[in-house]
Amino acid sequence: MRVTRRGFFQTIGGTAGAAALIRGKLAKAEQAGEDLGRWATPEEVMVPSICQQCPGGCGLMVRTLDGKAAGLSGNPLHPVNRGALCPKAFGGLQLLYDENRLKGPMARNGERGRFRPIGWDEALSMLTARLSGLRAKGLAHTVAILGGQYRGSRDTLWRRFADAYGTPNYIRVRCLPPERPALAHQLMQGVTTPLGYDLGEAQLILSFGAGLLEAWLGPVHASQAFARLRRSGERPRGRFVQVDPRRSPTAVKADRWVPIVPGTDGILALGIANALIREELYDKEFIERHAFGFEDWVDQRGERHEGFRNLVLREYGLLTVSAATGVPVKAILEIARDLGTIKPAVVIGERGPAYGPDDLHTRMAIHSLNALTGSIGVRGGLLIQGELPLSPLRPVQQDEAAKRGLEHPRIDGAGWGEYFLVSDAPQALPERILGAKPYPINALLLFATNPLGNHPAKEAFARAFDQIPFIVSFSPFLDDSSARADLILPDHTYLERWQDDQVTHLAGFTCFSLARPATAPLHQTRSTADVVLQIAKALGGSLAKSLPWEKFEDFLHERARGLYEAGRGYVVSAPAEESLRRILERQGYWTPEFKSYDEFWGALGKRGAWWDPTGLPVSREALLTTPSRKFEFYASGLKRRVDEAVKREGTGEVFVRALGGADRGDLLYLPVVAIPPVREPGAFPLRLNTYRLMSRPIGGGRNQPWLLEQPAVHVRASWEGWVEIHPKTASELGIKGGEPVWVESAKGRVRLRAKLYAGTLPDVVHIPLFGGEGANPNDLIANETDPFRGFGLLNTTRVRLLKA
Amino acid sequence: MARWGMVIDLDRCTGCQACVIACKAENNVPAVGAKEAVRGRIISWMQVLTEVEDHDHPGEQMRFVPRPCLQCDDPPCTKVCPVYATYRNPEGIVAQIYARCIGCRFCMAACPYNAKYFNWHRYQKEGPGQNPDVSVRPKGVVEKCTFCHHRLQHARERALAEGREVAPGEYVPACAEACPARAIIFGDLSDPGSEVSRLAQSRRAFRLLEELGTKPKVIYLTEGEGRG
Amino acid sequence: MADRADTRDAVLLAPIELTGRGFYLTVGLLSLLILWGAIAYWTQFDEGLGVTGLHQPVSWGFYVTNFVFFIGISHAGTLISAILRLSKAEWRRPITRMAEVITVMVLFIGAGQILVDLGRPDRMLNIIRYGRYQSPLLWDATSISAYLTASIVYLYIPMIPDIAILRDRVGKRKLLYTVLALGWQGTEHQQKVLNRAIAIMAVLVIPIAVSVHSVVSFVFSMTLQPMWHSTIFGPYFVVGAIFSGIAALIVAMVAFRKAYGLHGYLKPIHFRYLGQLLLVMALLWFYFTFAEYLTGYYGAEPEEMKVFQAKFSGPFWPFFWGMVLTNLIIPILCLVRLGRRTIGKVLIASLSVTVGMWLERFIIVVPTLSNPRLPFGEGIYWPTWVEWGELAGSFALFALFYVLFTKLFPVISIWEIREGREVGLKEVEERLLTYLPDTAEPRHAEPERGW
Repeated sequence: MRVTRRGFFQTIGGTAGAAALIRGKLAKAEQAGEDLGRWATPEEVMVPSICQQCPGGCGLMVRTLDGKAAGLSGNPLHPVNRGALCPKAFGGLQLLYDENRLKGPMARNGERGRFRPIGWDEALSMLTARLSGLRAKGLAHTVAILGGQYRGSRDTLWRRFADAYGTPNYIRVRCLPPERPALAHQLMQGVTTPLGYDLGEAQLILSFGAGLLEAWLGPVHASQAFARLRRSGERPRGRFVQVDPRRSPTAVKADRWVPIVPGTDGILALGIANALIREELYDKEFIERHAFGFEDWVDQRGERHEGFRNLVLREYGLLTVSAATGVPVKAILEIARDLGTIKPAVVIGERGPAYGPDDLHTRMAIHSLNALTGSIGVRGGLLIQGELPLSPLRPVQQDEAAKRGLEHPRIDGAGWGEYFLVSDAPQALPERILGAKPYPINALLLFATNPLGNHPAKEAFARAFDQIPFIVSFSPFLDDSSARADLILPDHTYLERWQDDQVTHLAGFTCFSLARPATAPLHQTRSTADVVLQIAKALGGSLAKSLPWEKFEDFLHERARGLYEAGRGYVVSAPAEESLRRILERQGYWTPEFKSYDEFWGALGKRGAWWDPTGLPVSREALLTTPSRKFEFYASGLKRRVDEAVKREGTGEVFVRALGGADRGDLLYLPVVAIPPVREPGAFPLRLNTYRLMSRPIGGGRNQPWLLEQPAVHVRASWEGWVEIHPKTASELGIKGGEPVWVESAKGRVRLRAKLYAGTLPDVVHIPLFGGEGANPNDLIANETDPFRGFGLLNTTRVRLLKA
Repeated sequence: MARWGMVIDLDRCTGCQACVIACKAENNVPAVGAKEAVRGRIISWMQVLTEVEDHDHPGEQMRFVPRPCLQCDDPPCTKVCPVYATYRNPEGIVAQIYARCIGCRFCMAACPYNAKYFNWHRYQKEGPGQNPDVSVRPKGVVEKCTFCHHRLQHARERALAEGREVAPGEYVPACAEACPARAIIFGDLSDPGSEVSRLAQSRRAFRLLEELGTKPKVIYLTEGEGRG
Repeated sequence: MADRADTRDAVLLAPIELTGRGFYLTVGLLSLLILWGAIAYWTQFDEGLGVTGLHQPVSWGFYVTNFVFFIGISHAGTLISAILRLSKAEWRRPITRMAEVITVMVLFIGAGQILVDLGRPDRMLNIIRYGRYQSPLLWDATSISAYLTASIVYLYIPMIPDIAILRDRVGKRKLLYTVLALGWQGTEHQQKVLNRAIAIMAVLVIPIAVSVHSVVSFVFSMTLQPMWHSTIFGPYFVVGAIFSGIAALIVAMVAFRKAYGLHGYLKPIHFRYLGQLLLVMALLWFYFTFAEYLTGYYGAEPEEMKVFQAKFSGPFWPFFWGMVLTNLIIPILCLVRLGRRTIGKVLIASLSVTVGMWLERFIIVVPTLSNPRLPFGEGIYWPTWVEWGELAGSFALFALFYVLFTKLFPVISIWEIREGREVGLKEVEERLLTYLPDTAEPRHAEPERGW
């Protein structure tokens, strides 16, 4: 045997290596076996899907290997995100493979005893028996369905189920419904669909507290628009101004950050309006031709009304506004001059933090800036979101039981009393369930929501849950609410099921996304949409007739036919092909790509989306469907709604109070916000501002370690939640960065780690919602009523800090 | 031969960390857990750094700087490796051989950008959802950004099978692919017509710690109109 | 001749022949510490380096500090003994052996630190398989192994006559001593060869020793990191190494003087001389430190200043100022006036320097890493029980090796003492005479040609 030097050392190395494997495993042999397995090349298939981590609805491409999901990327064809993704999207993999997912249906042993796994047949028959029993007793309306943050056909299906079953109580638990237009836009512009923001084409964006680049609507869509605003070929670099009490990452990226006393955004907007009017920088042509209520006016009865112009000039002088908002006069003037001179400009006042009783008027005041700059219905301004041409469904068949059930008022009181402007009022729900007002709830179905963890009224919800005899959860996880359920019928996660998405607020196009299962279900779970159809079938009668589809896939198939038949729009395709089609269409040629609906459906499933990029309603008149057919500074629509409600309920006080007004005079319908009196600090000298992180998906994402580990970049944090404190405030209280502190409100207190952050006003502390493990800021948030969202107010609580 | 490079436009970057998490998913980088994270052991091949201009008032002036491995042309890390476990390959990508690394962490100490990460424990086993193109690292070795080198290999195999060159845009790392603001542009620096080459000549272009002479192939574009 | 040695230097052979309770106690105590170290290492081997306090960016901590420190201590021996031999310092005779033993023992410990520090000790031999000479770590490996080899030879050669004495005198371990004595009979030829070999080794070992600590410093200075990337690191480290080496030597001398009753051999004058040498080295060390830090401070590069401030007034100030106190102030106070209680004072100074030089190594390794150039935030490093265990175990293992050595071989070179008495005295007198002007009437020397 020849011993080479190399061979010798290899032998020695091998011996040493073997000796090092002290645990006695023949790890090398094992390794060899694994290697063999790896040699077989798995079959790689890319399956389009839709990200469901936030309302953004980005198109995904799921990389599957032998049918198993092994990676995610953005769908390059999808018009919402064009192949890009945000960090949350990748958490979807960890969501799918979460080891703590429920493996199948669970029921209790005895009265709320231990959970035990059961079969689907047994689970479904339990639920069906309960539902049909209640219906037979004439108690259909006492079944409440709580739905969380989702859009599209699943919503349609649940609503249809509720209508056919006979319960008015299909209640959505979420801050704001993205598929509906903002109230201010509805009232001032008369729109029935949400507005599209043409951010990418704008030259100036003025945002009031909207976390445009974090958790506004679709972060990817918004970021792409932001990138175009900043740098897109020939245009000069666009400007971006952010009004926010906190220097959020969005504010960091802005050219100008305008720190503001929380809740005074409307006053600032009116100050800017004042400057625009005073310096005659507003779009006179638009105001003259397309606005109502700007100048003083005389109504049909000959009464004189003061217009927006004079009111603003009189009441909102820059010094007054500056004193109330904390924004220097110079800054207000400069913003106004930017807004008056840089075109096109767009002002964003949708979503963002709630402003309490002044919310509607604040948003109206902000939106009036869009009118003053003439940004409505122009490229680079506010566009209208067209409606999807989905096939209409046959009307729901309602039997006697259903009709009787639907005659009852809603349990949450939405559309009534102080909640007369909202369609859902989950905030009021627990109290009413507890008080059995106007009737007790006998069964509760929870779909994609976890009010016991994520709702500010979670304690009240917990008490209410105790009163409900039968709670069913469809959550794939044992979250706080499911842990209190009697029956759990776990849903698939979104990569395992058929679904669609209908995203709104897009830059001037409509879009329908379709996803088929990217991977076979990992566990014994079932798509809740399929379960709803199965229950309807089992309940029989009019329910089975109203929901006749075998599977949810069939339902989607039926609805999407309308897209094929609409004679417009495209199944997304490669950019080159698409631009060719658009050139043709501009010249009046629209040719269908597919010969049959089956072909269309097949392509839709393979490419992931349908969209209609042409026929943008870029015109002023098209937007203005108010009673005056103009942009209404004086919201006559609101007046009509108040008048109607007063007629219905016989009193006006409750509405005036809900709207934060003094009486039913003109001021109630004009976009003006009263300047609040100066408040003494009192026992709770600091304001609590909660915000959403870019990295937190719907539900908080506690099963997504990647996101928990690196939640944000503006502060150094990981896993654990935190509170942002101004260094000055901290030093006054003797708090050092990184120390734990108690944040205390009138409701309760939580222990969080202090992060010193100078990007804030000194008297405001900021806590991210779902910031991390540990304390839940919902334990602090005072349950104040929000008549414009029906959700709790997340930004109005006052707190104090104590060293822990 | 191609010289793969990256341009990161800080004016576009929003600090969202899509690149960070995309990288983790693509390269089987595990979350290390709360305890380890507190100890400062997060592994983040791509990391968004926050530059604070005024240290007494953090938050008043900030800039987000995504930092992958800068793939230096004169890398300080490869020189010091005693076993050739890290080296600069002919296309300029600084590679790490996990099976050879002895875990001395000299390269970590030598890298002025702190772009190298160590497996202090065995943070994960092979499991579902991982990318089979990238090996799962054992404990005790250093790991780093590879410009998603496995994607280059895939692209090359595809091109070879079709008898052509790798086309521009065919090979893109996961971070650049994910970036919602399109702040990360990737391509061949040796091709004067490529977007990266063009942007690298921009007035706004600068390199991190340029004065050290490491010749990074990741080029940054500064914010605003001015020079870096 | 042999008889006289029996009576006069019996005390030097006593530890080899007799074993007292103190020995077992010491070994027991050291074994406990070593056990702690072993458990610590096992934990680390099993779970990974995560059980230490190391992290990103402080990826080097105690182990690398220990490495530099122990390698530094190793300069005690061979280098000092070689210099003393070459300079014919007669007072070296009872010291050289002890010094040389320190070198050999501590080199094992020092090199071992690198193994402890490796994430994959099982792949240690990759250094040979795939070795890349561009890496300063490989320079270290080469230099240290050369130094170790040379030191062992240099320790062994002067031991041969003593081993022969042991072979002849001691009843135990006959075979071992016979083999090791290489048939030494003390003939004139053998003596000549021996002296020649010692002289060659003494010359050879000095550049190797200097190279060792230079390349250890190169591990740091070859990087681009602030306060590492410095040209004076080589000499700075060598000076520090000799400094700490002398201190360690003095500590060992005091310990064995007490344990083995060597008062007759290690006299205050030896400590006085070594103490003075230590003082000189303290000042030299301070000079280097001052030059290094002043350069950094004056240039005031932001990156350098970040590290500088972290040491000076930041989180590392206790270590930095502790180092100044123990390396400069205490030694000066102790050593400036060595009148009475010489040994006590020198011992205190030496212990202080031993601690101080460890701190110095720590303050070089960690603050630079914990203040990265890019904004990662400062990494605070605090060692865990594992690292403390390794530190304690390393010291204990070194001490144990040393103690065991003294049970096998005389800790003071018997033949050299003897040679001193018999040959040295005469030689010194003769040598001294050659230094002095001739006693005869001064002759007027002829002016040299060309002048």
